[in-house]
Amino acid sequence: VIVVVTALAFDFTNGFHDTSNVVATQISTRAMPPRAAIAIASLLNFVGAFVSLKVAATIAKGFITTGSISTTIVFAGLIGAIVWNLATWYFGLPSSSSHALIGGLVGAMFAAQGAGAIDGNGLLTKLIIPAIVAPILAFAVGAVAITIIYRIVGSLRPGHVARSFRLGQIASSGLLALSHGTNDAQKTMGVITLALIAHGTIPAAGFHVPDWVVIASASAIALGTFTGGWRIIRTMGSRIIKMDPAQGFTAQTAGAAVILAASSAGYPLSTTHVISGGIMGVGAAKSVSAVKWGVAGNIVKAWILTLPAAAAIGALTFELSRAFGSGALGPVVIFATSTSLLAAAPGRRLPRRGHTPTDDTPPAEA
Amino acid sequence: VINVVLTPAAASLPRVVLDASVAGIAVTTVFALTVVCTARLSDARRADRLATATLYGALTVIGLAACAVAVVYGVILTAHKT
Repeated sequence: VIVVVTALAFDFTNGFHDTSNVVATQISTRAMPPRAAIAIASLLNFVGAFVSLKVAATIAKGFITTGSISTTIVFAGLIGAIVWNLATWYFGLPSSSSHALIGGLVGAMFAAQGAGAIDGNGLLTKLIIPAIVAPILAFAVGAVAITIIYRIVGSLRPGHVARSFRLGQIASSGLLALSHGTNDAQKTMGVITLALIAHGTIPAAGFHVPDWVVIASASAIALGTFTGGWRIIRTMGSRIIKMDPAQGFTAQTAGAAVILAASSAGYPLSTTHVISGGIMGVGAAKSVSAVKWGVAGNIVKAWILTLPAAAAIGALTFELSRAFGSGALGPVVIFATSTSLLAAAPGRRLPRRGHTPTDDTPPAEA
Repeated sequence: VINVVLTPAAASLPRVVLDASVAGIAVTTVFALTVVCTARLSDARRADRLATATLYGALTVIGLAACAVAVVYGVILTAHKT
């Protein structure tokens, strides 16, 4: 039960952490009011979670040996992912929740079973190569596309162009939200299914995601999305570049094209990496100096650190849990401690520190 | 390295790059051309040039239909994710 609750908690953090992927450009270009954009993204994330279950299977089987998994390993991996998600959210950095989850699981598995239980080839081809290719490809497609767009619409009235691309953004962000739901909610489904396999509730052979897992995961990510991670939305929407509606539309469309082309070829990508790359591309094409490369550099550092940091936290959590014995006591103690710390956190005033965003209230309605 | 390059995921990389580039650039270009058509349509209507307005109206509808097809195709791809 603790592992399932922790997995749903991760799904919730995934929702509010990655909301920015879908809505940041829309909100910053005033294509939609913030609350409406978030509400539509939540709905489409919920719907997207029911569309396909292939990603859930990849997460459950693609990186580690499922035969040697235990519920403590899954729990430790989830804690690694949640802690990293919360840390990057605090600093307003759009890191990949998927990489955090896989990193946490791999770290916990490494601590429990050693390197033999990790599929290195799967990690390289399904995670590391896509992590390098995705943002570069989205950057290039976004840069070329916005250059062409500016040439085509350059002589038109700016007001008409802005209004038209704002309308286009509603469709492109809808597609992104749906795609995000099919990717990210299923990662939690995969993890809960892993825990159920480890617990012996369902057999390892003939991978099957129970219906209640699908509904619970879809609800958790939709709820997290609706909560809205405003810090990361600000980073994506206005701190990398100051976006106009044409740039917002192009970044989203380039991102959607990259994600869908990759998905159709069975090549999983991080939505966060793709959209961030697209935003940087449309900014750099207009003017290299328009991109705040300091912010972009911090984002790339967070991407590089995500896998090892989440793995280290996952491994540490597993070792802590093991210190209490092989039973459920370790996860219970860590779960209770983590929950208490999180419950106490909102009551503490977060320090303001220069460029670090600490304000987590939504922007004024457009 | 050779083993990695020969894996199905890595081998499909050039196709992903090509498909994403063509799709991303094509859809945004078509939408931009549609925006131009809507602006010309508006200008023609204001100037009472019915034939020109009809032409740009038709082009706008075709452009929007092409974009709608791209979105629907995207949804179908998402639904059949491998």
